[in-house]
Amino acid sequence: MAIDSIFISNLLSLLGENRVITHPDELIVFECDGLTLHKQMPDAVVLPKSTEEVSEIIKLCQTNHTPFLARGSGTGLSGGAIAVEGGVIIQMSLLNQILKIDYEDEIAVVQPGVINLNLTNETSPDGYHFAPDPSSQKACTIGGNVAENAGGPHTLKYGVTANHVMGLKVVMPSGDIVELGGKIEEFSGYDLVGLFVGSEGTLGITTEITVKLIRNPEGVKTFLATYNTINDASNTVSKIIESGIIPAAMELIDNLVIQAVESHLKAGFPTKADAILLIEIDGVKSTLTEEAKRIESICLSQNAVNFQEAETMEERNLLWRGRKEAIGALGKVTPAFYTNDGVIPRSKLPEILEFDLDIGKRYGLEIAHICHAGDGNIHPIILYNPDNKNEIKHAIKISEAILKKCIELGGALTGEHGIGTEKLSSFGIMYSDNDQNQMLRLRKVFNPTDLLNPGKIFPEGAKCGESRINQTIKKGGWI
Amino acid sequence: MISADHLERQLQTIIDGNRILPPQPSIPVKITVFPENEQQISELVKWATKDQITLLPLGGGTHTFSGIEDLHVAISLTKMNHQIEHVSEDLIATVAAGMTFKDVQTDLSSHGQMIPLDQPGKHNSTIGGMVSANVSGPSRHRYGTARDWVIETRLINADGKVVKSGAKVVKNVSGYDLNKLYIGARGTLGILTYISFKLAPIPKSSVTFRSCYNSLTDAFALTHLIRREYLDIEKMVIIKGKWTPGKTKHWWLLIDLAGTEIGIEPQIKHLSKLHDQVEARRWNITSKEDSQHFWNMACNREKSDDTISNEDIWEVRMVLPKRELLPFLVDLTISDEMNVSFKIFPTSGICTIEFVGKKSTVTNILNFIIKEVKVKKGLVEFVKMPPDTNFERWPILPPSFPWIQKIKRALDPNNIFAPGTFIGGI
Repeated sequence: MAIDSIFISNLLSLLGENRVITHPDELIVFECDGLTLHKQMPDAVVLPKSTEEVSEIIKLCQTNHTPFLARGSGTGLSGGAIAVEGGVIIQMSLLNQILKIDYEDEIAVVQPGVINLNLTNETSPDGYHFAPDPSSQKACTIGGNVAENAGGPHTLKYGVTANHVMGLKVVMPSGDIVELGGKIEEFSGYDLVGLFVGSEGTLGITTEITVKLIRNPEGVKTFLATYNTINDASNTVSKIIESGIIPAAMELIDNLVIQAVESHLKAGFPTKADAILLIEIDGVKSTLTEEAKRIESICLSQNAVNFQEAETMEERNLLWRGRKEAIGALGKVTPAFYTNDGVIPRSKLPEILEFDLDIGKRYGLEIAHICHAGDGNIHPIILYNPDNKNEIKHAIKISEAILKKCIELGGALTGEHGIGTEKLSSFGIMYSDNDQNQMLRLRKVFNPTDLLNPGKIFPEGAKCGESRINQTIKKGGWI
Repeated sequence: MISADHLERQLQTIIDGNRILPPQPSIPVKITVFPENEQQISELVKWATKDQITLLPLGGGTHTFSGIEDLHVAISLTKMNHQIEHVSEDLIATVAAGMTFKDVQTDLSSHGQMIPLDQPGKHNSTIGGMVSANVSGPSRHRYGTARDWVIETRLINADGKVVKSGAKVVKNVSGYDLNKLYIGARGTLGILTYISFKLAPIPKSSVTFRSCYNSLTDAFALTHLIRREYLDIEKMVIIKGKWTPGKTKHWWLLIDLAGTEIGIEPQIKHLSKLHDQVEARRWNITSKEDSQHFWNMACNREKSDDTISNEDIWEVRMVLPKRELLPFLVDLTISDEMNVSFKIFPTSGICTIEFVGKKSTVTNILNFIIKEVKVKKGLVEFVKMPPDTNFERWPILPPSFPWIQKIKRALDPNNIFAPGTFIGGI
């Protein structure tokens, strides 16, 4: 149902005029998230300051049959935070307090609008951090991390967001406030925390999150391995894993990205290399030297032409800055790009990278690669001209073909970005009707009116939204 | 009332007669079937739905869950025990639910890899049973639980359809993570048939520290010291009573230290120094092989006393915020005459206590435990208790319980999967 003046005046009575946005000039900021391919303006944006206010907003939306969804910083890359059917965006940025840090229980309780990196910055002086570290961690919120089950380079060793969330306070689509999990290590009954993390904001809206704090490691070593062929670099990845070493991070970066990074910030990446591996190990100092030797030996056996360790913290930070700002750097060498988030078993890395390069050539588009290689999470980045409609079409076709190939290789559609609106058409490649029905039964338990974040994840729920999506791509986004 | 004969006749139309057997005495069903593949399980579920038959998915029987009343048919997965797909360079394995954990670990260990969970009980625990019961042991200190390692499941749902969740990759946010729901659901949402795991490399080297204390506070003192240090600890448990092969009146702390062959040496020295700083009666270092007997005892893999009647045993497992565990246990007033054993995972806030005694002697303390743990927003489960007692198996319901009920109704609308056996009688 369209929003009418009575509904707006109810929102204004609840929140005051500073916390209700309805003017189109201001709403335009919320028409898309990091996936600028898909756009839709919401009818209103509201900024609650408490769990109770979120509950009241939801009840108003339900009474008025108005779609609604929560949004953090909007750094997501799958269209998960856009209002595909219009309605109300509940912007969580004023719920931004770290409520509790408890080193004895090794937990923190935060509101969903807390910026990911702020929690780590707050706890680092005491020797702790929040492990999920997506490249957007300077901007993304922990609430968004929970919705998308965010990852990052260091999830190879430390796991994704789901492995670090113990409890949630959730406002259900009915407006009921429910606590799931808590400050203890096990759940009583079904693991609803596990179900909610990564459900892309379609089952409820989180207003408090209890997360684990991880002790900083005693020692860290960061290495740069240089290769003349991307195939050698990708073969190295599974050799290291098979040897019994789980690095903290293992990132693969190809020549296109290296060139972009070096022209942007001079991180020290070798510009003539076809690919590099950025490998980090951490843990108890006494084990690191031995592991470093083994990793070097494996890299050289897989034809690495150079293997060097970052000798100072400054060198290490610069290498990581190069990795984390790679996407921004690419934006300076191409007018637009489209990022894919497929996952494959890591031994299939050489095969999928070869497929990517072939299909890029076939459509006449260049593809750059930044991969969380240790996780098998690839990020092919398709470069194109946004003024050329054919190139836009081809970029989308290439991305869909890569996802299909990932599934053929035994992988998955998305490692950390989510399905959102972006991959609706591919969802059926991975999951049968029976698989989807099982998930939809659960969605119906929590979200029976389908007013909470409609048009996401499941193709059948997206019918209304797809017709309103603009087929344009702009540069941007974090990976 | 449906008779066993009637069930057998019906089952013979679905499955070979020699795959239908009377139940073991401890299993609360009328008859047991042993399907060999998903197709047979699917047919069984469709039949159960049509004829309103209740099913109890069954692994090795380590954890059997009694319900309000006997169920009709146990579906034993133990004949689905031969399939394992292991890709060592991916550190991933897919296993048929009926395979024993021991067999799987033996297979994986030849590649230097493992599923980093602890085998409960003797040698017949199945993978499916362990995941359904979400069992964990001393390794959870480093590795967590099944929810950290299961990446894909296949399950026969209430329609008799095979449904997949997840994929054979270590990172995946494609759709809802139903694996998390099935882990620990005790077979109440369907029948798990195949499970894929991330694997961990077996550490190159490890040693066990065994130390003995007069008091629990002394034993905890070392765990508190360790938290401030940098050590690669793989396993940790504090035990007393039946779970220790040593002096049962003392508190024992077992710690496995893991590392590389060279790198472990400085850690051994470091942990030794820490042992010297606390009030241990004695402590020593042994090889993993020499300490296996201790770990087996701590994980119930060896029975310490078969003479006690099951009717006298009360095993209570509780989970508390970590900081609350020691004060809570110290405050427990347990009479010296009471036969009590403890198993504690100090860094996880988890404790299992076994009381041996008549109801009249244990009722007060059990009620105290329930009351106090509830105040601290913890969890209590009666793992074992005599029949016909008034205690609920899960006496503390979480605030989300109404949603748990709704999920059960949505995924098992005819209530055929292990009804009445789980929390709140679902």
